[in-house]
Amino acid sequence: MKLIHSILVTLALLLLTVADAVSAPLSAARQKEVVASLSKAAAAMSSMSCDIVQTKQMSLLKDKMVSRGKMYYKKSNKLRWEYTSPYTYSLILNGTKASMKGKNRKDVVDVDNNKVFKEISRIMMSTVTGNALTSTSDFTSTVADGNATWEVTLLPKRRDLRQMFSKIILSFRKSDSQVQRIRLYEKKGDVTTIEMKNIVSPARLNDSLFTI
Amino acid sequence: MIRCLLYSLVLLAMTLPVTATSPLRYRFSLSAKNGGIEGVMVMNREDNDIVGCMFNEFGVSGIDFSYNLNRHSVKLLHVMPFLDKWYIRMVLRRDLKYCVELLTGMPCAPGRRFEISCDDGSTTLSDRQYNLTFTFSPLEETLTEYSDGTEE
Repeated sequence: MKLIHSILVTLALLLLTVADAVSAPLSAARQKEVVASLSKAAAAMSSMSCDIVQTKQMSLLKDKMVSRGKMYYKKSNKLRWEYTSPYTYSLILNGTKASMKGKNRKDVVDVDNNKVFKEISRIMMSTVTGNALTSTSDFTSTVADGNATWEVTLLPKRRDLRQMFSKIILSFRKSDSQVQRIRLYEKKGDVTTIEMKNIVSPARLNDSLFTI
Repeated sequence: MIRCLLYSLVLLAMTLPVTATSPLRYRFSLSAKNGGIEGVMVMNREDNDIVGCMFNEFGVSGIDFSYNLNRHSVKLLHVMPFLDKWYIRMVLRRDLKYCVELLTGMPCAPGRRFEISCDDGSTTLSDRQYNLTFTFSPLEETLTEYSDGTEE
């Protein structure tokens, strides 16, 4: 009898844990409200800095690769995304200019003259700031309640994005509407998780960070 | 005797340095006439294949391949949409074969169309026919210090 009781308690706890881990979908009206509040918070954000920890799960190799770095954002169109370990790489978006600096090469692109890069920078910027939520031309979004976070699932609408990603999930902290985690699900099964840690917002950022 | 020694050497090269438990990680760059790409390549041995994934710094997959140790040929398992053209696949298959053989210490005879150089731990394979240059540098898994850009 005691054994059955133990099993039942364990099962109940297990079910509770499972229920806790699964995000609960919201009604359409509630989703609209949440998206509006997240967009409002994004619009109010003037600057931000954070550490990034990126984990790529490779389905083919059953292995993962962890990269670390920093991200800086300054309203309205300045972004510096850099990796410091185990490789160095930086992407700077500043107005209509973008630069990518790797180990062996540095490329500076005029975003307005480069259609592909214009799209990349627009989507990156809108993902970081949360504006992707309201971009109806790029994604269909659904919001779920993940207890301490709002889990926003973006389904790509455009063919070029659909060829690469099956979905993108953004996790926003409920307390301050900050993006905490971005998960990119590739069509071929790889998943890249980018976690934002030690978020400072607003952050006093030196303009030299965004120099191209 | 010599044949036996050569055979043992080939077998040794096939087992080292790619083992089932230690993936090889490289920073790679591929330069072409009109531009290039950079990223990370991870390779590991799985049974009779060496399996490799190449992706950009943001983790977006570019190329997945497998090199068969019996047939000494490369099969492309995934190629990102903008590179997925039959003529690009043909060149990639051939060039990646030599890249894998070079990086894993296998016997490699790429011929006169290719130029190979090793410098500062980096391995470079240049495909003269198509003006492509592949460079691989081993990735160190150590954390590097970075300066905080925030103002005091």
